[in-house]
Amino acid sequence: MEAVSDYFGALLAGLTDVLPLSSHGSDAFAAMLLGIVIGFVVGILPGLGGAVTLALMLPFTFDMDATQAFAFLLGANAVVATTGDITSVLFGVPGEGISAAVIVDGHPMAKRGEAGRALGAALMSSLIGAVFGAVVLAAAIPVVRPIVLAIGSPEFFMLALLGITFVATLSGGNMIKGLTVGAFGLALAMIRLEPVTSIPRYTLEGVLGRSESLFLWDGVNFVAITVGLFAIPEIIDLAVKGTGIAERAAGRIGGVGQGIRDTFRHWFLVFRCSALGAYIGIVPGLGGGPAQWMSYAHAVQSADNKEGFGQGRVEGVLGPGAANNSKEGGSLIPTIAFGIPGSLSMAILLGAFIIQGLVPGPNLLDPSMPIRPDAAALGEWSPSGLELTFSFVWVLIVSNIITVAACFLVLRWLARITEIPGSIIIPIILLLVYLGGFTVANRSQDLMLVIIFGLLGWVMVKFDWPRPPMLLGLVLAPIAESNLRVSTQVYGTYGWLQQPGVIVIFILMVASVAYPMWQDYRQQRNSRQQARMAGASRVPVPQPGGADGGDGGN
Amino acid sequence: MEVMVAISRGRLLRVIFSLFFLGLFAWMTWEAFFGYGETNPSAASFPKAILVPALILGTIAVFRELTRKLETRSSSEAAELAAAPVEFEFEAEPEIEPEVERRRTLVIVTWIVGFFIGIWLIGWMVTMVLGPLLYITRAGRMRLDIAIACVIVTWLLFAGFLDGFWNIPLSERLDGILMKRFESVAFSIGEPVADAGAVVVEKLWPLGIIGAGFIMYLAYNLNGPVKQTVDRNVGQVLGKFRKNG
Repeated sequence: MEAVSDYFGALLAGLTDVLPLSSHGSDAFAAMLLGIVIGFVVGILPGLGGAVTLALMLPFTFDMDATQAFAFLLGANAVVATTGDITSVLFGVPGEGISAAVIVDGHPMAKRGEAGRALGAALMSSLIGAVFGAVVLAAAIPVVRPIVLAIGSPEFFMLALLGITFVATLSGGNMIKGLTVGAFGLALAMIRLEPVTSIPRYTLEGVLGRSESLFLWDGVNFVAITVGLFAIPEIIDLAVKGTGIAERAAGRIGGVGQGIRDTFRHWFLVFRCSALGAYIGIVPGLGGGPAQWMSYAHAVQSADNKEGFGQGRVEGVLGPGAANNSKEGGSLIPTIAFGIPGSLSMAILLGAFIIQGLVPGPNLLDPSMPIRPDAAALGEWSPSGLELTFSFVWVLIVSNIITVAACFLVLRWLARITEIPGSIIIPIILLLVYLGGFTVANRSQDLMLVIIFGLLGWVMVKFDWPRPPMLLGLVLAPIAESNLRVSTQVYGTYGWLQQPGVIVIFILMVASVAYPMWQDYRQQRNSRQQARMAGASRVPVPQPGGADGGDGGN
Repeated sequence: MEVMVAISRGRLLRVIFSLFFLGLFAWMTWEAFFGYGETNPSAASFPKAILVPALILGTIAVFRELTRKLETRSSSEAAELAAAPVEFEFEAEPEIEPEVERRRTLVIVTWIVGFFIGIWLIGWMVTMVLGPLLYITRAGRMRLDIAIACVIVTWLLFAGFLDGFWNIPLSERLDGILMKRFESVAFSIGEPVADAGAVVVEKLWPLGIIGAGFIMYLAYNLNGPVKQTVDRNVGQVLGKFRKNG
């Protein structure tokens, strides 16, 4: 009974923490509004990814308290998926990678004059999906909490490795490269003073000299590496491809109300696709790409009449619209409970946890312990871990409500943002990138890191090496190392390997590596069989003067 | 033949890049076993646990780069498109020739490095103004007035909002090497001049006012356009007074 009242108490407190009903609520609400504005612009402009923007926003959260910081970041992240649908419908260009599926039916609808209907459907289904994902997050907490409390240090170490493995193997691309890059991220995080013995590790004293290598003693700057690794290649891409995606005006945008009615007419489809998106969000490594396409495929398969898909069926807009937003709530579950980011955006959000001094796991699900134990002594306010987690739930809901309402009001003017040429955006983003790298520790050496990892990121893109596993390795390494140290101290050097949880997670890791390999092998075997059958079924064509088309025969 | 050379060069670069990871892992593993790890084995336990499998992975990655067939499309892109249940193409995907792509890439990388050098040498505040101004006019080939408007917005965003409101010490900490030298030289020359100027202003300010008036009189009489403009404007004002009066 007490647990239930704690749960609902924290749920209600989380709501008041993000609404302007108190001084800290007002601060968080203002930060959320600012994040929403940034998310609006980023979501609409192709070439600026949501994850990159999160990385650029990270340094500005240092001076914020935890509720404000996550209202700021989650507010922006939650909005990006919604507003990315706008350019997908109007111009056939995805504002975000996760909004690509909306183009398939949304843009044909716009071409035949139903842009408003498509947008109304996309926006309303996005809102319903977001609320669904938030509800899933809230409902999962009492289920996940006992599991989290039963997990010890050996399991947390293995979960960190599992997260990297999932992202490396499930996010597409070459698995070996993904795992190698994940190991590279873990290796980068080792560049620092060892936490217990304070021995310098890989701080390049012999190369840089003692005074110049001091900046590496605290470890490499996570934010500088992130903004360099992801933002610089995007800037290069933006400059190479050119921008100004709106080659023509958006035209009349009417019929929005029809789109909203369509959403409620197909409520069961929206509900199912929301559930699909939330489920996919829970699995680390899958992310937005599979969510949008699997929900689109489901919308096609479940339709009574499949004619018209790809040419402007509203169901083709509803499914991906709902799934894109519901996955956000789902992906927060493993991030908060286990410290395993479900996607690249979540990995960056995990960095925000570290900046705020929060450790994912039991602390963030505890209704009694404030996240800052010293706050009471200082006369300051600090929410409990569970209250903070519920504030994430409410931020997802409130920010999407505000976004959709604002989109309906200013849709036409929002579309004008796409007319901003890239040559204006690029220098501002570049300055933000350097600023982001600098402000974390106010060190000019971090600007060098931005450049180095920016060029490294660009080369990785050119040579088809994935980048997200590296970020995960960088973020998860401190968690992994501290848990490994505790595990070896408690269970002995190899004793922790015999824990049942460790064995189960190890089997999952092996399965996540072996399954794609097996699929690859099956695909190649099928291709070889098909090639053999195609060769065997060739009937010799009789040629004039010969039975087998050879040299006429005898 | 040219295609073969290009493919060989491409493969070589990919192999070299994969060797970078292998080399790094090898060095880090050596340090963990024979460097700091020899005297402090506990500090090397996590690195050893990670770097030994990493070495194996790096070796496999190099081997696969040596033996892989070059694909026309990146594997992650292919995986994404394979997941799409319908065939479609994005409408506004521009086709860019490789030569144009290489040139544009070189240009933007130069600008990126140029911004960094600018911040390093002349400091944040100056780069924040000059950088966008030059980029928008030179690389973007846009009009100067648009560039100036963007610079004003940039300045308001960074110096006004971030430095002034969010207290990010851009102006103090990112002064630039050259700017620091300039400031020290200017200070050593300027301080005595500034001191003398302060004395002059304090003691002789009435003379200053007379001197300014004399300069304005000379400008009015000697400079034709100035005289005409002043006469026209003053005449208009006086005319209005006379009409109303």
